[in-house]
Amino acid sequence: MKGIYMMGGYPDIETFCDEFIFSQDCGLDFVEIGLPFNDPVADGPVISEAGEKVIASGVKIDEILQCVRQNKKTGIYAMTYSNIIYNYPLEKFSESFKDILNGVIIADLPNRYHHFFKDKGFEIPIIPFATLDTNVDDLKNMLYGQDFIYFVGLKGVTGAKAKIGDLAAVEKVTQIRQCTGCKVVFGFGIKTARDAEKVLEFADGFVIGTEVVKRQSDPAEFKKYVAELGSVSAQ
Amino acid sequence: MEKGFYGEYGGQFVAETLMPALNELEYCFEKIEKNKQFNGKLSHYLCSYAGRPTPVYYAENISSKYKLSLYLKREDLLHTGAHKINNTIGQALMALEMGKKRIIAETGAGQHGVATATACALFNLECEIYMGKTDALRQKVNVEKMKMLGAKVNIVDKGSMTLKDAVSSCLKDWVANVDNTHYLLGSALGPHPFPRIVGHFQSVIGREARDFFEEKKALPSAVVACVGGGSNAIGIFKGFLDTNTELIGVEAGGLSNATGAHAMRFGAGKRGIFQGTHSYVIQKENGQISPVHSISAGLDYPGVGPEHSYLFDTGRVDYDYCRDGDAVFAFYELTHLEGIIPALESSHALGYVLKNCEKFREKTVLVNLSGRGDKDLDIIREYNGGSLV
Repeated sequence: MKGIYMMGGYPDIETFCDEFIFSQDCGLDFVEIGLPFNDPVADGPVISEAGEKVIASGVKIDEILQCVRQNKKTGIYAMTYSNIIYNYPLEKFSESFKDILNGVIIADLPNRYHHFFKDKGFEIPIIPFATLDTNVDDLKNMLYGQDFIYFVGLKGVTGAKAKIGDLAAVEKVTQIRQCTGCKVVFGFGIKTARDAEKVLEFADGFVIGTEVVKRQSDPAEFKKYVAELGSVSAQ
Repeated sequence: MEKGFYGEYGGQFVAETLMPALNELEYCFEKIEKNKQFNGKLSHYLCSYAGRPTPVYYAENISSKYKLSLYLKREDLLHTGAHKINNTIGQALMALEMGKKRIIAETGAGQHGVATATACALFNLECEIYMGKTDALRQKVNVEKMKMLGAKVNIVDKGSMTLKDAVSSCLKDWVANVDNTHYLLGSALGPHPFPRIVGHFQSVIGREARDFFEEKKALPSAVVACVGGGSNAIGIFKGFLDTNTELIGVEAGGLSNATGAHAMRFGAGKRGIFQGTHSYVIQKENGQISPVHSISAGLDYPGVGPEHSYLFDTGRVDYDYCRDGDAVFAFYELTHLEGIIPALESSHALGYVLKNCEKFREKTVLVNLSGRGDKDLDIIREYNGGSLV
């Protein structure tokens, strides 16, 4: 599963939409759409600043997801923070977008608290996280048919550099795949197509965020980079 | 009630990568909470180093002028000048238990930063403080103190450059350095178990105050405390929750009710999920966190500790506000009438009582004087257009 993260509505809604359309036809399996929040505690400077610009421009979630609705061909996951969905509010977000979202990835909603959303009527699958410290039995209890498990490849915020192919991570991902039978997508810290190839040697997929967002303000660069990621295959 | 929640408030809304650290912290807290040896050590430092117990003072001149019986819990007399040290010594001892040698902390007014740097100097821990640029400018003396105490001070120039952004920066640092670092959170907010830990270490305020009034065989009619994140308030309220004493939390009313001009979470906020906890939050319709204002850097925060939200909903505590101007008025009243210069945060609690003195006529009121005000002289000078008197 090859995926990218794009900041929704960045650098402006037209450019975002043009780039999103491109992303749907270049060999990627899924795209995560960032819905910005102005206290992004899991994000490094690149994604934080892009999000701030979107908020300042006044682009709304509905406009971002309208473009997604009209052009979606791959899997689509909204990636955001709890308060954005909680205050939409929850039930309305679920009702409005469950037909276009294959799942949500909520940076500040750890696995233990999925019930906080689900109990309030949230029906979109919540992608669970795994880390080097994850207890696989606990993780198994979190699974109810989500498309994949999101493996957080490093301790830190988005945009930091991970050592790809680190033995402990490879072993953990392997263990999770074997014990859960669920696909594992590796995120955080991947920079290049070469990194992505390496990830595919031990995980079911990768997702690249910061390096993609950096290029969103330059459509030519974005398309070149994303096309390259779309053509990555396991060696 | 679900573990980690106060009613529906609280929880742990953080990155999955922080969960092991929160679990470790919870485990450590449960081990030490009632541990004789730990509490003996804590009590030793609180008494012989920080200056506990603090007195309850009958403010005779203000009482006579305003026709009420005003008592002050003198947390301002503690080492480093505020209640913050109760918590920093407690958590620094916990960090030692957990074998964590590096401490990070946020600070608004600088009091928690100074109290953290002090505890780190005492226990030989590496210390880094995050402080918003706006706050660092208005609390220069505290920045200097932290540096002298050996802390590295990181100035945060993101967002509103105040407490909110300092907390965010701490969470980002913590997630990257969680293996060797303890985040010494300064208020009763953030993810579980922080509200519980901070509330526990601050409950000494309420316990001492309760003992004082028990000895007099008459509990106060009301206990009043300012509420930023809410640690001094929760600390003193805990001593009186099981009584009929009226409990009043005072938020920063700022300049007006306009968005961005105050920090009234209960007056103008709604439920939200912010910096690790489900609580009342000042936010826009679309879920973005709103800007807030207070003349006091310690009350200038869009969220509030989850236990306060619970106490608000249940009605056990009333939450009201005090405007900037009324706080400054109270600051001077206490200075002139009692010879005590209060922190601007505590001046909000006092300002509320003075403004509403009719309500408290002939009644006994206990105000938590959570800190002293020498740190605030620059702000007062600016507020007055250049002069202090």
